[in-house]
Amino acid sequence: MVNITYDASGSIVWQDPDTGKIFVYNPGDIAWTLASTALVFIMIPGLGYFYSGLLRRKNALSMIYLSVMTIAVVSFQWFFWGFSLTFSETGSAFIGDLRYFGLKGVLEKPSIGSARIPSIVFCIYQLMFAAITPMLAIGGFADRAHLGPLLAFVFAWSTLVYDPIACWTWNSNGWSFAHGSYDFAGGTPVHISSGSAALAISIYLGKRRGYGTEALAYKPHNTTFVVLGTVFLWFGWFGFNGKRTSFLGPELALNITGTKGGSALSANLRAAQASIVTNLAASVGGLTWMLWDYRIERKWSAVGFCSGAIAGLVAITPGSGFVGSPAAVLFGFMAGTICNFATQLKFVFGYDDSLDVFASHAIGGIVGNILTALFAQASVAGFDGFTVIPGGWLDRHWIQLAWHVADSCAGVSYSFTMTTIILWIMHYIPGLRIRVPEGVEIIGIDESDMGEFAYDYVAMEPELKGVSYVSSVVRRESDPESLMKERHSSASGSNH
Amino acid sequence: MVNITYDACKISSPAGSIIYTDDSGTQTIYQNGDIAWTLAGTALVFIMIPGLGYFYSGLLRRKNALSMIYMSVMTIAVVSFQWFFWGYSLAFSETGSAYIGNLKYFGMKGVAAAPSIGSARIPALVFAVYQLMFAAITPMLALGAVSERGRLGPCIAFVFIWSTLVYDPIACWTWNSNGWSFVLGGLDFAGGSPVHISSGSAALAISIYLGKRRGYGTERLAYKPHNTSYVILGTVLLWFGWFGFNGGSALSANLRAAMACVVTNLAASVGGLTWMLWDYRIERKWSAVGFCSGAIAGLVAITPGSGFVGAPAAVLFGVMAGTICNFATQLKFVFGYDDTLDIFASHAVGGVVGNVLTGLFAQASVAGFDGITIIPGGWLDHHYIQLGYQLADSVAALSYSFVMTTIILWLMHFIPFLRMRGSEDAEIVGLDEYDMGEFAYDYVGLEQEIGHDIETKMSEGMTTGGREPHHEHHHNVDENSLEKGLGSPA
Repeated sequence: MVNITYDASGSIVWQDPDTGKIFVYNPGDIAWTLASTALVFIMIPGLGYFYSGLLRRKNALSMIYLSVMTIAVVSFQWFFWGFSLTFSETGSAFIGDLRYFGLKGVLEKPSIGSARIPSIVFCIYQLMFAAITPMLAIGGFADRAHLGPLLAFVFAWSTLVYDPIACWTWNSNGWSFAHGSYDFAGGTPVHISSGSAALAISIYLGKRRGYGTEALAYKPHNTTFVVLGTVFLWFGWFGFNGKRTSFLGPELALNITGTKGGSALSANLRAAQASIVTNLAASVGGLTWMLWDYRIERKWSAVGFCSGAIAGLVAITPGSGFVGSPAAVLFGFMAGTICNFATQLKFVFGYDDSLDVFASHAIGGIVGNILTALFAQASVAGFDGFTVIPGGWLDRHWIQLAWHVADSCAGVSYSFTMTTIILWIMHYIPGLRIRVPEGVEIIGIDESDMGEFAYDYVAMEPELKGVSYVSSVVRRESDPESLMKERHSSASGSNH
Repeated sequence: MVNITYDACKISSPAGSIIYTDDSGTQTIYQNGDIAWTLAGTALVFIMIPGLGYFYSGLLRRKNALSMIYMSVMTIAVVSFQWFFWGYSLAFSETGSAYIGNLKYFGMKGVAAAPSIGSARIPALVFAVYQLMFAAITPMLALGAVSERGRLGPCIAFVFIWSTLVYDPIACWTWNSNGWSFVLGGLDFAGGSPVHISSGSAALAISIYLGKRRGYGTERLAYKPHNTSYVILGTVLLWFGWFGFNGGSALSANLRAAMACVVTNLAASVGGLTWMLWDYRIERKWSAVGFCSGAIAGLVAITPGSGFVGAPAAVLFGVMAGTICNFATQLKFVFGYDDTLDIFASHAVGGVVGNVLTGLFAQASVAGFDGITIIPGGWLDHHYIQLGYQLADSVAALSYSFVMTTIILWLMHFIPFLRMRGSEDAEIVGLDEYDMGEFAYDYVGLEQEIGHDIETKMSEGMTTGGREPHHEHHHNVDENSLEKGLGSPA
């Protein structure tokens, strides 16, 4: 029997046997955290549908599948050592240790994120953040990656990239946390890390076949999937940002009598405020991006709206527990604008980031981090009744911007470098090489790696039109050199 | 006015907890957080039911796609009424017998602020609406077996009758504190027997009663989901809702609920990967449908054990379910029944796997995570008889559900308008067109269904919904070209 009791009103009471300190867990906090766990969970398949809708029909299923595969692999990795490496209290400033290997001992003690909830609740909630991040990066693999090696990639990347960065940001020993960066729900660990990783992946894999031609001109095969995915993401984001309110900054004292500011109910004002700013940033971001696109063709673009909404959500993520509602409007506007134009970077620098993950998440995350430094307010952070911070530029705490820039740079560079290292190590292990040969790109990942399509009708003629050598290409998929020779000697002149 | 008050603000307690005083003066305090989590769980379990509809729909042929989605929402509606009518009372009345409740709460009369029979931490009304969602999903699980050859009208009556005669008794045995299985000491946290074993057995009974689909064994019916993205969407909604299904079964926002969420997610993940890996050896492909089936099998298996087992055990639950249920899908070929959607393999067999593993890996320490529950535990606690209780539970549910479902089907068989079996023409044209007059999409190609060798029996008075009643089909169709979706029928 776990050593807990109930007080007169039914709250859970645990006493630390070593120090005698008493911790009271409010079931309301636990209920909202568990509900938020489910909310963040459903963001991940939402991502899958979003990405899938933007790609071509022949690759539609692979993205949706990758989203649920990522949940599965990270769920196991988190149980195995991920939670321990990220959130162990006895690790270093850069990475945890294996104290909680297999979730042993993770139960009733106050979590490292907040003394208001037990560590097991914190663990399952954080798992969902760990699960969504690699899926964001997986957008960089679109159309040209073998699915088998991605199982290993997700496990390795979670361990080597996500866990350290999350430790720096949210573990009370982490260097970024210790010097006072405000990252409420994951601008750096989730968005900047995954966006940078997607860039590294895009560069490593090289361009898709047919890049620059009409065949690959932006053409989402299913815009209703794009909207459905955006909806799941926006819905879940209330749990992504709205929950973090219980997580305390470094200045928090474990004041468990809850007398500050009245009843514990006032702690939820911060959660409510986070929900408000999240929704506002998404809305304004969506409208902004859509309006920027309107000037091009005088059309109201649903895909533009969805991209803008997501950019707004990404940007508000680090600031959601620190900024007021007017600032949230600015977050949405800046993200909708800057990320929109950032999608042109891939043309400037010549990398094929099919789904603009770097533009939305890395750039969006940096925008969010910087705006948080400018607009974070001690008064808003104090909406939970106990958090005390110096604030940002609005509070004349000018150095905050430097911390956030440091945070962002560290996240971008570490993720980019480590992801590239992981990819190249996998390159030289037989069976783990990710890049698919040209023949597989032609027939599509769904057919070649899955044997299933998303729909019962997936027209292959437009893909195969003019490609007279396709059957020999498929047979020779393991021999790219002879394939290239054959292609150059063939007179098919296809533009695929 | 219901007899509750709110407590005053006290140090280390939340202001506004509900205090219920019963006739004898005994006070019960309800934590708002517990109620909040249970109500959130209600919504979570609710959305599992349409998720099931999409899952089943994606696996069938396009011409029957809408019927499954429709049946999911129909089931919610019928059971919601049945539960209010007498279902809750028959399952959860405190004054019934060991096998079935009574009609004390007919029409939900008197269901309000008193502590629920499931847990004293929440009032009965909250418990009733939460349990409603369990009652609603179970018949939908079974109804998957009517796919492509049932009749939708009689299904409405079937759901009402089956809920009353099969679900309510089994739920009473398992979760009512008077129930024989509960008293015996069977461990079933969120419904291995009442939900999964009962529905899986019922699906088997339905499959056997309805017989095989037309074209069974031919290329026409070779495994061909029409919309794999629906299969994944359905799985996602199920997995999402399962946090409420297992986590909410703690009926309180406490450590046990959190642990239930942890093991649920882990079993689903490992189950999905396991089934997918078993399928990989066949064709060297990563099957999304395999992953989804495995995730669901893992979720089914962990259901009875979710409040009793630790995280490492959950990994084993996933592996065992992903493996055993995968191979159990072959049973239909061995025994020759047409269980289209493998409901018996996933839910009945999965539920039995879960019950057995719960008997082995249940731990008193984990059950005690709520600070209240005391059980002897399972084999890890050297309480070996637990396996016997779990087997008794499983066998009772399997046999009772199978027999009673068969009886219900045959009774309905002899009532003129309640016969469940659709005609052959209905199968050809598809349930959507025949029974609903609507399709799931604006394009559902029927030419390849109608214009081939097996003649349409116009002489038996078949109508095509008033459209072209004398239309004759002269298509000389090349079966092979249609199978590939290339070209158009001649």
